Amino acid sequence: MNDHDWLDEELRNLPDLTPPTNLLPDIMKRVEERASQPIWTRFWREHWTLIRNSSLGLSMALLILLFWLSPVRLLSSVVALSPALSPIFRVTAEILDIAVTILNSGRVFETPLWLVVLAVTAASYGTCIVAASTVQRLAATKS
Amino acid sequence: MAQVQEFETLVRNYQNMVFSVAARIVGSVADAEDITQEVFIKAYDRFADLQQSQSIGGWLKTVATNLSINHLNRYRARWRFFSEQENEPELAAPVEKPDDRRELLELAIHKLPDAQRVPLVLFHFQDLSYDEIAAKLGISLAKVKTDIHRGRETLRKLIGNRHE
Repeated sequence: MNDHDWLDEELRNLPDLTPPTNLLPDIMKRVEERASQPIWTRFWREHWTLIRNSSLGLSMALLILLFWLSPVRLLSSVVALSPALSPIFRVTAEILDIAVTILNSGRVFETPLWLVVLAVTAASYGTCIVAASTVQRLAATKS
Repeated sequence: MAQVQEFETLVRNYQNMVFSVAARIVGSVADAEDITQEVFIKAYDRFADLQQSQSIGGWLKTVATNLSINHLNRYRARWRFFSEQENEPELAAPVEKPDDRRELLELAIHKLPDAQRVPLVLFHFQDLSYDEIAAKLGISLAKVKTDIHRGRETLRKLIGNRHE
């Protein structure tokens, strides 16, 4: 038997390591802590990716709808259905309508205001990501 | 509470395997403990799905491997992790002389530098191909082959003289 065969055989037959005895209790302690959390906390934790993506998608859809639909017209039907809530809906609709008008008609150096707002938002988001990543990298390097 | 008890059974059945994967990749018992805990916490969060699965072991092994590699990437400078190492590892380092031959081999694996140990463990213990290892570690195929070859050479130097 040559060295390679011998080494392969030894590696293949190497049994699993035995973890420290405290590992199982430590894991179960954390599991029991999680199990005792309220159901909504667990739902949030277990499906946070889904929630995040859904929220993002919904926000984008609402933003797009805001530009395509007139908020006043859209909410007037709701107002008609529930007269008691009409003042709230009316004010909200007015505010949204004004916002849409300003975003559509406003210009900064011949650039539509909504485009400027979008660019600034994207740039801020990017800056935050880069800053957080840099801080994490520096902390990891230091540690 | 019944679910917690069922989960405890799962942990008992798989803790050795998960711990071994983590310990052999990161080369540190303390870090391997942390990673093992994280793996089982993730498993608990997906326990309902995993109970229906026929490949819990495979899932746990994959998660343990990925978390271990992430751990190395995060906490060690990348240039140092997979840099070409011209210097031979410290073979003259004092090797304890355990009676058990397997313990000696385990110790030798732990003494390998990261760049050699990680691909070697993925190849021999996770049964990944060279291509899969290269993709997982983000290094070239040639480097994977070289590192595994060097790792094996180092292991043979460390324990070969005890081989009958």
